[in-house]
Amino acid sequence: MILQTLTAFVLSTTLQAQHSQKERCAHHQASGEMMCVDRNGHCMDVLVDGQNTVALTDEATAQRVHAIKHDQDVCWQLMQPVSTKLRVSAKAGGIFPAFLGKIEKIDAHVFQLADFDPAVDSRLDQVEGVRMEADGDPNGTWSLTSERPLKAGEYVVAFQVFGVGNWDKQAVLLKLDPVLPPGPADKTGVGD
Amino acid sequence: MRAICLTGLLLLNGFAFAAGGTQAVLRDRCVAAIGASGQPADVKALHETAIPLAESGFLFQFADAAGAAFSCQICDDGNPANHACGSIGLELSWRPKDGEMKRLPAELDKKCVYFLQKEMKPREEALFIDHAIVKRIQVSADHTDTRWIYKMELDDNAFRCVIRKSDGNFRVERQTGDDWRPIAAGVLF
Repeated sequence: MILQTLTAFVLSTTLQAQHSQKERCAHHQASGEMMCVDRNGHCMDVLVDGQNTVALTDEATAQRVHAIKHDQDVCWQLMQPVSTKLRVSAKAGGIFPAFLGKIEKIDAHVFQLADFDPAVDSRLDQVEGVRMEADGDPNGTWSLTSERPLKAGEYVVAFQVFGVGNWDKQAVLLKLDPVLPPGPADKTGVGD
Repeated sequence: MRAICLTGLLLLNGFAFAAGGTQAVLRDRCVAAIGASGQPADVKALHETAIPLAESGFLFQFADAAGAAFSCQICDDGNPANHACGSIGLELSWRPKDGEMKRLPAELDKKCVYFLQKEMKPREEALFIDHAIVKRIQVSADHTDTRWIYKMELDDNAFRCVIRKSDGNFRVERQTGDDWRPIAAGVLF
């Protein structure tokens, strides 16, 4: 029994390490709102400094990003750099828009990839002292603030979006640039 | 009667001397921490105040003429007879005139020891500090450009405390084979 359990554990661990990006980021094979329960960002649209997040499909990039232990399934990316004081908004959308409903809160966990030192780090912890603040109505934009200035470079930012109905998460591979200004604020939450 | 009064007076003087001695030792730890914090300061030119806190703690403040000040909150945490300290290692901060207070790195090795003994001591033990365990922890520094690393040994088991210099994030880890497994984590400053 113990041997069977150990074998199952080893196989499971090995399979996790061998996940393709397609497998890692697939939505749940159920119907209705259960399609969203893996919470890997398929049930919302996220806009960062005016850019829509898009699926991260390149296997080599995904492999490089997941070689670092940050415990995030990074399934999304931004094609252009954004501000270190970025503004983000989210809308219920994707494969089952009714899942989230109106947005009540956006949270962010920020991981600086270059900060991982494989010689001494068993894992990459998020940057401390970072938080999101609503610019006005919670359904509008939220601004990223940090106690210490964020450096230019490659990051994974996991946006957790809480709606009236449920919550979803997009872990986004992006580049931050302190020279860039943040996108415009939407204080009303009415959107376009 | 006179002998009793004299003995009492001597005892009081003894306590006052011991308390004064403790205050001086704790004050010196604060001064050393300011010097090591990376925040430029000429401690001799600073105006000092000491505010007693609870049973065996002090808040030392060191202010400069421009209105900036260091605050150092410290407890007599190395004294096994004292059970009033909630942790080991002092808390140091600096506030510029009219500016926002910022916490500074200070006595990180002691804080690492505190978190290790906290994980190792029996759950039912009510005291914050188990001095018997603390005494058995051997610490050595092995820093890099981006991390403060304290190697710790306790009863032939290897641990380490890795502190990120950029934001004070830390992990205490136990060595298991070739792996380092986190047993505690948080922010130190």
